[in-house]
Amino acid sequence: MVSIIKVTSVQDTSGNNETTTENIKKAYNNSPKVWTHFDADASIDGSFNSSSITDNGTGNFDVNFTNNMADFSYAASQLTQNNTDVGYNGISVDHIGVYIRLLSNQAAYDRNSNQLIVVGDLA
Amino acid sequence: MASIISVDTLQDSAGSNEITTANVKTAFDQRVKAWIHYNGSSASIAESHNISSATDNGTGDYTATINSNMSSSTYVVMNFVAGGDDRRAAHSARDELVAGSWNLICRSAVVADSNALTDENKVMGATFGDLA
Repeated sequence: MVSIIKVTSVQDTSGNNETTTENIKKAYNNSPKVWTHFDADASIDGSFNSSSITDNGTGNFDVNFTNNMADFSYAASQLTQNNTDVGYNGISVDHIGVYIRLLSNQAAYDRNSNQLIVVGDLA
Repeated sequence: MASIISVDTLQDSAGSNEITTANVKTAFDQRVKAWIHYNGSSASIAESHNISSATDNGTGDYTATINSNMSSSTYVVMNFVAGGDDRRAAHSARDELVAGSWNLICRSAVVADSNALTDENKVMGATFGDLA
């Protein structure tokens, strides 16, 4: 049987670090639901809720989620290395496409150390 | 002695805002571990969390030093530059990302500038991942 405590606030035994149950819920709702750090060969260096990377060709990857997002209106942000920029190439509840280009000539480019976070609601 | 309550789920006293203990832990584990709002023009930190210092390495090139280090170099960084419409700046990490620091690079997005490095006064970054 699932145990439930109904309480307005939680604090430590010294009466400090008080936070409301509502704010605990907000902290979870607004925490990153996916983050990943992957390389040019589509290998994952570190991640949370990202099961794999699909290599679709030069500078073109899909970041696949373990637990899907609720819909495709979530927010994502990405970063890659110096002298390259990164954009979206398709967005879905179970993955997001990543397109990496050189700043100098906008050519598709395979880079190491590509990073992405997703915030929003899980399914 | 530490006091511990073992429970699966929390609700507020009205029975709303239900959240599992597992998701409470997830929210804590996935929080932002360090963040900085840096003024690249004056080489000063406007505000930060878990940052011990910032270094101006030259035009458009800054290093944020983390107070309590990340566990490895495979964490995630998000950098952002708030430039004006006529001086929008691209943002990108340097090739190296280490447990104790990361780089924030500002480049002009103006085509005529050929993506030259540029100092901006609202340079922001945040880290996600595990602390050491």
